[in-house]
Amino acid sequence: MRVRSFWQLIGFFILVPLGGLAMFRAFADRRDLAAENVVSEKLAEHLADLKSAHPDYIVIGDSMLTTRMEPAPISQLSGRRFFFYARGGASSAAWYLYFKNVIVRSRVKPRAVIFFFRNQYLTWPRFRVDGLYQANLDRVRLGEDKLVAKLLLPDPPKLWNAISWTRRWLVEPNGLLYSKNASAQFHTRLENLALDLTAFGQKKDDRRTFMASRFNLASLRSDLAAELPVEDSSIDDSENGRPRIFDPSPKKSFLPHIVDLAEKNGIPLIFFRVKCRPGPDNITPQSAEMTTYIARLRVWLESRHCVFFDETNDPSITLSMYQDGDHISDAAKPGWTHYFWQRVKPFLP
Amino acid sequence: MIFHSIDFLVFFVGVFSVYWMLTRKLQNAFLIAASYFFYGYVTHWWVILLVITTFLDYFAARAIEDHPTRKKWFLGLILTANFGLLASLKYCNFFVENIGSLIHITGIDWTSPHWQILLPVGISFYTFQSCSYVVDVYRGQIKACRKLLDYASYLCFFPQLVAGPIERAGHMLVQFEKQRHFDWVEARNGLFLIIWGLCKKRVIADNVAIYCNKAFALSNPSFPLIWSGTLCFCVQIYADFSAYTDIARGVAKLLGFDLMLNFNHPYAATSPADFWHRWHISLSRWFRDYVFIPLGGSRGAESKIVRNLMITFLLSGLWHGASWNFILWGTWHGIALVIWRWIDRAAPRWERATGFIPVAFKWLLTFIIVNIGWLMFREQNTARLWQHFQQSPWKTSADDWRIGGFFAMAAILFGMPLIVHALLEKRIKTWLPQSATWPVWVGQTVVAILLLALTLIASNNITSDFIYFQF
Repeated sequence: MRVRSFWQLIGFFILVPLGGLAMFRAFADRRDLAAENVVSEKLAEHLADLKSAHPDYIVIGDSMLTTRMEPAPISQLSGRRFFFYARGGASSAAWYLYFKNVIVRSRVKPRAVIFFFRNQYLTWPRFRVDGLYQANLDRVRLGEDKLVAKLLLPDPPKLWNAISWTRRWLVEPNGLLYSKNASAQFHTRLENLALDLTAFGQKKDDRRTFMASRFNLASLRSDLAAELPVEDSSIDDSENGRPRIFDPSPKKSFLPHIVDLAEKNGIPLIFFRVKCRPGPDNITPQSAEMTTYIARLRVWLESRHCVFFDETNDPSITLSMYQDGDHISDAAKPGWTHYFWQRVKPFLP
Repeated sequence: MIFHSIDFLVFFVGVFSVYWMLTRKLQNAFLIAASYFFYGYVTHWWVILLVITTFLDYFAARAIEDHPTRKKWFLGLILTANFGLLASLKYCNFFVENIGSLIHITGIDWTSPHWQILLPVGISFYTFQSCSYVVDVYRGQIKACRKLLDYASYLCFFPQLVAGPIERAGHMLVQFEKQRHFDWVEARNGLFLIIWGLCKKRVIADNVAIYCNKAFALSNPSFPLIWSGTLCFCVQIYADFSAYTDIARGVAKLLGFDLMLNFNHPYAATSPADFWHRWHISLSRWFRDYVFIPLGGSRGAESKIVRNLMITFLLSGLWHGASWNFILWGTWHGIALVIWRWIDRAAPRWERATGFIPVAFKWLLTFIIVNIGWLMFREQNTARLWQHFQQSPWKTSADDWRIGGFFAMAAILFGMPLIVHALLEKRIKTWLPQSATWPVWVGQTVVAILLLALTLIASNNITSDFIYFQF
């Protein structure tokens, strides 16, 4: 009995992980990368948009940008053509791909490219690249980008991240980043099934469109920020690869590659760090670690002839200007646009 | 440290490997060290509070046993110390703010202070576990533990430290005092529970949370959206909390311990009382034994029983958090229990008159009551809560109904493993007595493979802490 129980446990211990992983690999969908190594429809759209706009300045960012400024008012205010590439939830990986595959490829030579970012986002390559966020990378990718694949893969399989590495290897058998994300596909299928079961005569796409508008930023409650998880740098986030110290190594982030590409193509870069939501005293608390990180980032960027702005300690950006989280309210947008122009104007080529 | 992290996996593999090489005494000492490391992994100072509670209760219980004439005095002192610590960390701001609001009503201009206190995770759980031990010693139901090492390891046992189950010394402490043997069958069952718990957390809770958060993030959600969001929360909180318990029980089994069952298909309940026999069982029993029964329980005049029920549930609500919505939630369940009790009394006459009351009707009514409670639980802003209750189903666009239907369907589809489990568990349980047999092994292994594959395929990339960590 005891011997049998022993072998049963051993068998269970070996068979379950192997069986689970084998099933996972069998059911995870794969992509034909060779077939996709062409300019996608979306990428072509981006290239055409940029070429037709032929802007003086390109501003790249995420929802921090879209909730602060819009191209038309800043173009009108400055008398120069501003072009925005801003997608909610976009991250440094998507920004790098846009810079490389759209800006450089388009041969549109802007007078400067301005990046909007928060905290350590510029040197956090694995931030927002999976699941729902993968779409941001997909729309600006061009086949398999070796650098992206390399930076998105966790460090070599040490004991600590062996499981994570194995999982990625299994999930993404065709080249890590560009194979279909199994979970995203599962969610899509399940969502489609739920939509079909509750269609009541309406098309899926119509409902998705309505949902997108029903849950847009303007429809969300203003106190949402209080319920969102706090980005506290004291929390150990090593699993997600959040950098604690600034490291300009090309092996660690997309930032040095962006700067290299810009240098090679003669495009001046400006980096604009936005102020995260302040407290009632209009001060945004920062850890010592964060202050050191930003100070090092500034020194490095300036040594590479980039311009760096940080509005974090600016008391004129007050809590009343914020809507939810770190987003600025619609009412404060014109004021903020003016503020931005005044700050950036003297440094623009 | 959270269970569904690589950190915990590495930690547990290390603990497990060393633990079984040690003698019982060393095992307990090692468990204490491991548990303190686990608890203080992110915020180190929390360990100090745990150590203080351990010492206080250990010596208080001994004093109660050694000095029977002064035991009341000791009990009063230790309960004041335990609940005082809990109150000062968890409820201080809440009480001060409410006093401030009352003062404000009188016209006096006074701004209440607000202290930035990081509430230690699991403080409500281990404080209750510790208090139950002292009270049990006071009542003479158990002997005071004479070995600090045993007691400390019992109180800080890492699998159940931060979110229960709230164990009793009579069940758990004795396990620390005995020699433990590695049981191959229990270890396998433990692994199975861990996989099932991970699946519940990563596949069900984290995925359903997306729809729930969306509905509650709207500034003006309509009737179908808020109630479908509540249904999502209903699935999420059960999957999330029971996942924690399953993983805790599984981890404990691998270390040779048996933790109590904390959930028994709560949504299959056919009355509010039945729900509380199935939901967070360890907390329900704690309140029954240390609040409800000492208040008089269900003996005496009806008015007294109603009072006892209401006090118990009000306190149960307050235990969950220093916020009015939790108090409302507790009160709501108290009212539901009282009304159901009255209906139950009239039921025989009613049943005679109507023939029968279908079980399905009782189940549906209970489910609705529970969900109304979940809305109170989820919405912490009482003004908004009131707005939600005022939403009319008639003044809603067809599109909102469709989204509500979609959210509800997504909750049902993601929650399908829970439904299947509820339907199959009785059959599975019939296997367990002979769980060393090969057919059972094959069945368990196949199910575990399917669950693991499902977890890998369907896990949400965005995960969060377990909901009950905040309490």
